[in-house]
Amino acid sequence: MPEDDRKDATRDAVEREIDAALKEQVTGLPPDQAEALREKIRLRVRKEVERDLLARTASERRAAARLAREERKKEKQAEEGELFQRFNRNFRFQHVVMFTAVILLIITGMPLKFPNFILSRFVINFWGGIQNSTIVHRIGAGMLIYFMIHHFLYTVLTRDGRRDFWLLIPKPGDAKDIVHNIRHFLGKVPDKPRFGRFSYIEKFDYWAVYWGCIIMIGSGLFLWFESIVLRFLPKYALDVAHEMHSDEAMLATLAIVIWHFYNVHFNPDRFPGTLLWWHGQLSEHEMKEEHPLEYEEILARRAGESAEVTNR
Amino acid sequence: MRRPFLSAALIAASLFLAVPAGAVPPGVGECMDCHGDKTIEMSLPGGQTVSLYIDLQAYRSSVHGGGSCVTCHADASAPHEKLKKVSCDKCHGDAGKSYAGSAHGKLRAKGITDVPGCDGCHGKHDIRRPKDPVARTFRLNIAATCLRCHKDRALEPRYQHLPDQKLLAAYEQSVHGMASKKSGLLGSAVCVDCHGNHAILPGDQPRSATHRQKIPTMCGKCHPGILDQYERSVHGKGMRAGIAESPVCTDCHGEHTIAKIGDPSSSVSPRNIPKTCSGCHDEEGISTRYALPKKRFSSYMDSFHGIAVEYGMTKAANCSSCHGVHDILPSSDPASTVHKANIPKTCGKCHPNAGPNFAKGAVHVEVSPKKAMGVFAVRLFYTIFITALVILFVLHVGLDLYGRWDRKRSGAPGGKERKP
Repeated sequence: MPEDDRKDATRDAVEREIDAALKEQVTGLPPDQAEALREKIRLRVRKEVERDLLARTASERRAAARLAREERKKEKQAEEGELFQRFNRNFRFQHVVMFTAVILLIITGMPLKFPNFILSRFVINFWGGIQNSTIVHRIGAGMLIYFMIHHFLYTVLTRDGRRDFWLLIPKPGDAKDIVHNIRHFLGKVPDKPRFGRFSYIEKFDYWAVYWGCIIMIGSGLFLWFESIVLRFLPKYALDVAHEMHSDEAMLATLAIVIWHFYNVHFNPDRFPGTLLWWHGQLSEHEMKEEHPLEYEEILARRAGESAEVTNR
Repeated sequence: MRRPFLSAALIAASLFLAVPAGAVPPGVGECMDCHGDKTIEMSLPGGQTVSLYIDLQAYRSSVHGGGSCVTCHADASAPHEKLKKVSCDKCHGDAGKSYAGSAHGKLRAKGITDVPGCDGCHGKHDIRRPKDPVARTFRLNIAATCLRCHKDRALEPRYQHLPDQKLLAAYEQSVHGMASKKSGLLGSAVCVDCHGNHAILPGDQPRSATHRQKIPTMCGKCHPGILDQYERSVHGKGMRAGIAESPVCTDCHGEHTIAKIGDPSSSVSPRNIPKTCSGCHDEEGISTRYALPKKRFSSYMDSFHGIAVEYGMTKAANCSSCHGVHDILPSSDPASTVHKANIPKTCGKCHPNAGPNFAKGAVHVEVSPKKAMGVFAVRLFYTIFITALVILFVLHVGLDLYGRWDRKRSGAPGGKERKP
């Protein structure tokens, strides 16, 4: 095949260039060392070239690039301790969509709840007036609805989603953890509770969003499509939806600002926040500190796997 | 240099001539012998001088131009000392009589010379018919004629009861003022259309043309269709029944500041309507006296309509969008736009396909167990829930911080650790 011929020709040309370059590099070294170095560089360069040449399609090229990234990462890990992938890409994407939506919704919604607050008018005018602000609010709403659907499908269809969902369900152990943690705060017990993949703090965060999304999207759709809703329900149902939308918004905002922001931003361990939401990784140290049970589980699973490999 | 001498010679000559002539009054030409001189002056005791020059051409083209000087200046002879004050009453008796009863006339009778007499508005020798476009009393010139004094800041401190100058000057920017000044429309209201001309009186006097009770009829002279609607409204009926607190045109629209609905400064622009209506409807005394429903303003401002209007979304409903404008009727009246049976139609103006469900529940939602149980229950639940949660959040965060501080202070293990 002409394509393969062309690649062979390229490969030969590359090899000749490598040899020429190596000749210059190894002069002056003892012959055995020079040979070892020569062989090492040769292998490395050829591997890169081969991989690049083998990549036929765009997706293959991307996979190759990812492989290279991971190799580089492994090299880095030797220095900084192992990095654990806590959140996968899908999950991080959901989080970004959700927080963008929520920020848009809060900054366009709160001025309607507090029209007399001094900044409200400024925030509304930032969008170019109330007309635009209501449109931005609906864009945020659309994003949140998309997030809700995406997350639901993620929970049902992916293995990670199903695993996380089960792990997020509150268990009696969480109550014990709360008591333990409070006692730890008060100095009664020296160690903090040993959390698994999700601590009670994170479980609360998760279910607060779940509850919030259902109430906010439900009541919000009522207000958005008031004419359709009023075809089936009386006006006072809309009033109740309005009140729920307004009050739940307050609750959600406070939960985010006090609970979530403290636990991921203002907490002295984290201040002013980490890049976990972006790369999804926790260092070995953080894993031991914050999710010791999960860390042990992962190590145990690995030991089991390697045992299987050796047994084979 | 020769002129004063010439004048003196002429005066001396006419003295000789006039005496034998006896009772024969001087003609216009004889008067103009002196008064046609542009430099002829009279000095006042204060040191100022007043020109005695009379523009013959202006006089000839005036409404009185065909007559002679002595018709008005009956005591004139040539030469003469200061003449008596001219009185127009001889020919214009009716006008004189109504003027005497006016605010201007009464002050003038007291000897105050700042207030305009006939000449103040009509001019002296150059009086023209009101229909004449150059007349001071021509419709398009009247505002300028009145504002000559009423915008004069020097006059303001002298007369305590003078209406606010800024307000009067605002007429020029009002819809009526702009229509006459900028667009030159004869149909637009000028000062005299509302205040009357000779018989001008302050609005608080019952005989005044601008007294509250007369205002609807007065505005109705030009706006008859609206007067008709108003007469049938709850406000119009109240006014006719003699309830002074029932609003008339000017209570909502303003007086000299009347502006178009589209003008943001107008008291009846969509943005300002809630404030205008709540001027009465949010007042405890008025609501109690006439058994009006309370909390109309606050419940409106709590609704999305109120907030959106406050932020400038003028298409959101304001008071008049639902209640009507000049034809406002109480919701108990079957003809009212806010009667239960008419609610779907009224809401349907903005909310397409509005059905009978729009009428099930209050529009002005008052959050109380009696008026809106559902909303009240939700609000109560959330108030408790939010308070409880925030207390728990703050406790948890506070204890966490306390724990960190405490461990750090005592150097106990598990204190704030740094990454290795």
